[in-house]
Amino acid sequence: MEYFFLLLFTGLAAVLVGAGLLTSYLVAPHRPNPLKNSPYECGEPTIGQSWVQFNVGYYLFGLLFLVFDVEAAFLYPWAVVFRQVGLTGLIEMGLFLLVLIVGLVYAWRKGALEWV
Amino acid sequence: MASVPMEHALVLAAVLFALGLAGLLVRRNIIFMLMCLEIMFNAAGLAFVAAGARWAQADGQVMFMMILTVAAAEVAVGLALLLGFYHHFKTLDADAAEGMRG
Amino acid sequence: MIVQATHTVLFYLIAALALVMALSVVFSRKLLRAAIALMGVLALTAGLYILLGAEFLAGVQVLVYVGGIVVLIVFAIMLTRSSDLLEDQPTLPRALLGAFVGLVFLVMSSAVFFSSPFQADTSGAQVTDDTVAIGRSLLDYGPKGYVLPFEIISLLLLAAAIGGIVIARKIPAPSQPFTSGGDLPGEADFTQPRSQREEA
Repeated sequence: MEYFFLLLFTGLAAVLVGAGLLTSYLVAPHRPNPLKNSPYECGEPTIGQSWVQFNVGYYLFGLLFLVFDVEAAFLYPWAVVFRQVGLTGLIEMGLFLLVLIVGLVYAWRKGALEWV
Repeated sequence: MASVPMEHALVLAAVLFALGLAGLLVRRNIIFMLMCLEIMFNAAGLAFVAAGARWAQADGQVMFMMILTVAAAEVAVGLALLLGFYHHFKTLDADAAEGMRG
Repeated sequence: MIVQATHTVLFYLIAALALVMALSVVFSRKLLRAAIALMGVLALTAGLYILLGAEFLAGVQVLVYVGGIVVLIVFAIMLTRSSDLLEDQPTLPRALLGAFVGLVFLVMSSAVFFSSPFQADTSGAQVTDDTVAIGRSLLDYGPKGYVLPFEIISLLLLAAAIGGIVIARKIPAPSQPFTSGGDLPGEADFTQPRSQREEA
């Protein structure tokens, strides 16, 4: 029941957007023209491919983000039961975090956090 | 409010897993293979959550967290290996590594 | 009653959509499209978790799978310039073999599934607060607790972080970050003036 209104809201939003798109599709004039498909007139047509190869630094940041994202996912249940588990929970979570901080220190020392 | 019958969720998980398995075997591009692997992990997690909801135990959800972590670690190392593979072989075809067999 | 019916309809809707998305991951030929379809499968699974009463897991699914893993896969696609590495169509024996193995798996698992009696029918009971339950059993060091796997998971994450850094750091960055390095056919060398470029 609690999600019923969320569902209703989502459905209404979808209908609203769909109706807008449909109306514009039905009402707007269609005059296709090769010039309209060209890039913005101030730009040059690209030479070669526009698919550039990205720097591997993006991957290193993404990797570290993923690892600490998972860590954060484990922090939530611990935080919710923190009052019940008390000191033992703190020590267990401290061990968990300590191991991961080793990874962070390693990444830092190896310069993985610096943009090359 | 046992709204979703566990059997149906488990069948869905099995079908997703089989799809991922078939894709893993058919594909040759390593990124596609990793994506199919993610579908399989996801299906396994879905099966655990469905069973855990049926028996009203937290174990299924805890196992889901474990699967999630394994999937994250797998994708992190797997994609790093893939980048090294691409750098070395200049291709993503898994068959290019045939020569590595001992 | 109507809530129940809505849930059932939603379940089948989400399941069908997830299957379609998974099929398009398996059969798509474009990498980025497959990645978006994978994101769809994972997000729809989060919807299923809400229906199964595991709201926290739905959040974690979106946070880690959709926000982390799919992003990393998209980074890897961008890093490998894979648009022209579209794979050739799989050979027929290979496709048949894959379909066969998938079907065999499906038949075997459903045979096991439909022949095993599921005991302990507590349908109707539900984990009241899933986050609390997860936290309690993760940090519980008793016989039913998961504290040892929990600590080992931190080692797994450490190994993944260090392994990924060690492997990925050996890959040199492309010389010019926002061009393709000039090694593509039809790509001119912009360090030369235009007049010389035309001759070459």
